[in-house]
Amino acid sequence: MLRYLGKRLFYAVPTVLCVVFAVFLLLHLIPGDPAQVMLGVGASDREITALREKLGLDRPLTIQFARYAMGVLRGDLGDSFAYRKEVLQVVLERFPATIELTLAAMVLACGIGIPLGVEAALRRRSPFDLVCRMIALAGVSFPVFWLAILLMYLFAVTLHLLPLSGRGGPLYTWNGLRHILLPAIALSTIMLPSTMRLTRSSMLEALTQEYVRVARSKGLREMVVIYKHAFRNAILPVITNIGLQFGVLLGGAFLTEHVFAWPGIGQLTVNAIFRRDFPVVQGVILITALAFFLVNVCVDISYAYLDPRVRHEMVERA
Amino acid sequence: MKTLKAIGPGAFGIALILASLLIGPAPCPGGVKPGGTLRIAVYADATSLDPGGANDIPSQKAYNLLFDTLLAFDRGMQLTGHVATAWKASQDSKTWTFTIRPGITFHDGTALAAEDVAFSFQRILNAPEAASQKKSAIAMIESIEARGNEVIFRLKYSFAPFPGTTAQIQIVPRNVAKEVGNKSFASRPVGSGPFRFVEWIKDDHITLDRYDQYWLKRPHVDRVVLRPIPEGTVRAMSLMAGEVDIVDQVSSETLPKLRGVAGVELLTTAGLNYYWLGFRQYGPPYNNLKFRQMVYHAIDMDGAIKTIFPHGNAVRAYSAVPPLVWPTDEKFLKEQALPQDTAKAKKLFEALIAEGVMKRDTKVLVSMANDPERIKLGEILVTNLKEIGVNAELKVTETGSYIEAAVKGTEPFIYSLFSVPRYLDPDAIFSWLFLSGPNGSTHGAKILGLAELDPRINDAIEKARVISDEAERSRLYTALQRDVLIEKLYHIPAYHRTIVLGKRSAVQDLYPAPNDLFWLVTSFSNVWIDR
Repeated sequence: MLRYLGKRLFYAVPTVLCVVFAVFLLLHLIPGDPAQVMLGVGASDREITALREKLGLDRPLTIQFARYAMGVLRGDLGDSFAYRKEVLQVVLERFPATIELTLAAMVLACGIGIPLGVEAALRRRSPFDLVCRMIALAGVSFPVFWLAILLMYLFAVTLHLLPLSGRGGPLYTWNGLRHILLPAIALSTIMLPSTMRLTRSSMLEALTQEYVRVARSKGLREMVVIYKHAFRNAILPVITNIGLQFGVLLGGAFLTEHVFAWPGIGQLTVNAIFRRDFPVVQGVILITALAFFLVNVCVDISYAYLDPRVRHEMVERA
Repeated sequence: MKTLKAIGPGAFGIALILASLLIGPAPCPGGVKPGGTLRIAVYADATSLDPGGANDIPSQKAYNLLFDTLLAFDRGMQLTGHVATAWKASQDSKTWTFTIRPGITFHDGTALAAEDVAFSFQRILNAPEAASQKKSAIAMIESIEARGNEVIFRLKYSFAPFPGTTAQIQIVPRNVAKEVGNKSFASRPVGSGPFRFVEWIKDDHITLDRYDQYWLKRPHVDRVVLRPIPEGTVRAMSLMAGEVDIVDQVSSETLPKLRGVAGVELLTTAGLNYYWLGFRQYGPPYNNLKFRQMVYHAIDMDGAIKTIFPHGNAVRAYSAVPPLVWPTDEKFLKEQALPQDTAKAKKLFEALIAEGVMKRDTKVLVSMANDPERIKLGEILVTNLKEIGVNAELKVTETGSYIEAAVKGTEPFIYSLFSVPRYLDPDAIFSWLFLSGPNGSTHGAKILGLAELDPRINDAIEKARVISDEAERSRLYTALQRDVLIEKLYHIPAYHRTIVLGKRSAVQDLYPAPNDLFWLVTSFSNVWIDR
């Protein structure tokens, strides 16, 4: 297993470098001089030239990239243009809030989506199944921004039940828990429909398999048949989906954080893009790519835990 | 008395304390109730709390509550003494002497001295070119000397608006700033302002506590919490839900929703800004006066402002000088402004074709940054131009790209920008908009392409900034403005946006500041909460 993990980590290096290169190139292709954007229209030529020199923007693009890539390999992501601090520090100050929100949304999406999907499969073509499908459709159709405003208006402005925006503190505190509910609900709608639909279809497929029929014919209790035999096999594609959806959730978190004034990397990135704070945008994307990679490694490991065939194959391949 | 004896003096004291706790704190004279936390929603978080480094508005909003300046503004935005009790200029306006108020202390308890003032200016001047966004604002200073309770500034050249520039340089304690270094100072600032720094959770909140020894007056509120909420709708809802007490930058869309909400009030004041339509005169037909007259006659500016700001949070501009700044020549400029006249515009269009300046199908480009208000202005202008037969086209660009295209490119087009003067003096406005060359080198002039076209403008601005006589300066600026806005039509003045603050009714003694900062504890106000 360790050899397998080592191999995965080794392959991650070129992937991450490719991400760094693509992001670097894209950002520098966007029109808009960071020095000009930072200093405003009223800045003098001398100020702009000096800032460009200080930021290293007067060097050729190839040299800028080489310096940046060498820095990344040393763990130095450069300094933020706007905050005048190390990018790693700027990003890490906000990263826990984003991870907290993303995980909370994930827990909500899975905690609601998986049981509903299983139940919808068991009650196929019933009114319950129809309602579940409608929820999934609504979840896909409603934009997060619109849903967020609606939730805020209902629960904070009208009912005064939950706080409207901001992060009240760490998740384990009562205030922190109250603050995270609305953004987590809004964000979870990105993942909930696909989780529910995939669980339903996967369960439907598993329930028609031979081993389920054998289990039933052995006289096992229906709960054991469903949850021990069918569900355990049906959950594998759902877990793959969770890994993939993590990236989508991180993307969705950018918008959700902006609306809910959640102090995470989403808000930081939106501001950094408008300010042309290239090092911060690059740093966020790099760290997000790493997080996405790690989550998918975790997903692979969970396969091995859930499915002995995969475990065996992994060991053999390694 | 018998009963009192029986209870005993100790028990009587406890009873008194309990009774006072039940009643609450005694109100100050005039019904003021001190204490409480003032929660303010701001549109963006600060980038730095070091006043020597960052100059962006969100940072200024925060650090202005922590620091003092030599001079400050009164409600009418007139300069008044603050840390400086008096100031005087030499005959040639090249030497300026400020007398420092005694008895002011920083939040760490040390006394504010003339040396701190000199250091605060000097650290900006000594900073590498790019390290301080304020450096160019005080670049005229040659040397600074702290002598007793006076600070003497010697300038490289005569500069009449110098006092105005000092109102934007905050005074920092030299010992602390030297000891901790600029980076640490930016995240744990120490000032002498009405509030002292407590905590900054990035993008979440900045907490400031009352500074009891504030020299001007003891602040009424115990604590101020600044919360960045970037979405205008969410800021408005936060005020409606009572989660915050004050919101800044109330947008046009949320204005009608906040009006009439119980417990919510809106405060407005004229903003120190100027939005205009300009012509990049890098080629025909934009560099032709008749073309500019045609555009001026074509656009229905009053109708445009009513459409863009249906709730009245902007006023039509006729002058490049924002309200509250001198010289006021509004009456004359309003009389001379070209009215919407489609027939005249059509006639001018035909004349331009006949003279070969443009063809009937020449594309007239109207370029706007992607902010909703200016996009609407662009749409209206394009519609108006099409009505007279001009082949007009609107191009909307992301703000960063827009600025680059406007500043660096040589493509001619009609654009829209806005300006907020760096200091409250007409020099800040006219040098920004029209001055070219080493002493100003601004992009306002470069965008217009004025450097080659109209060098005489430079002379007028350079002359006005060295004269001490305000009446003479006023005359020069008035003549200059009439020349560029009426004779040459370099700009079509569009509007001045109004500053709108939303507040809970419980917040008392709050005045909106035209410079978009917060006036919480000033010579004329001390905000308190009537909970």
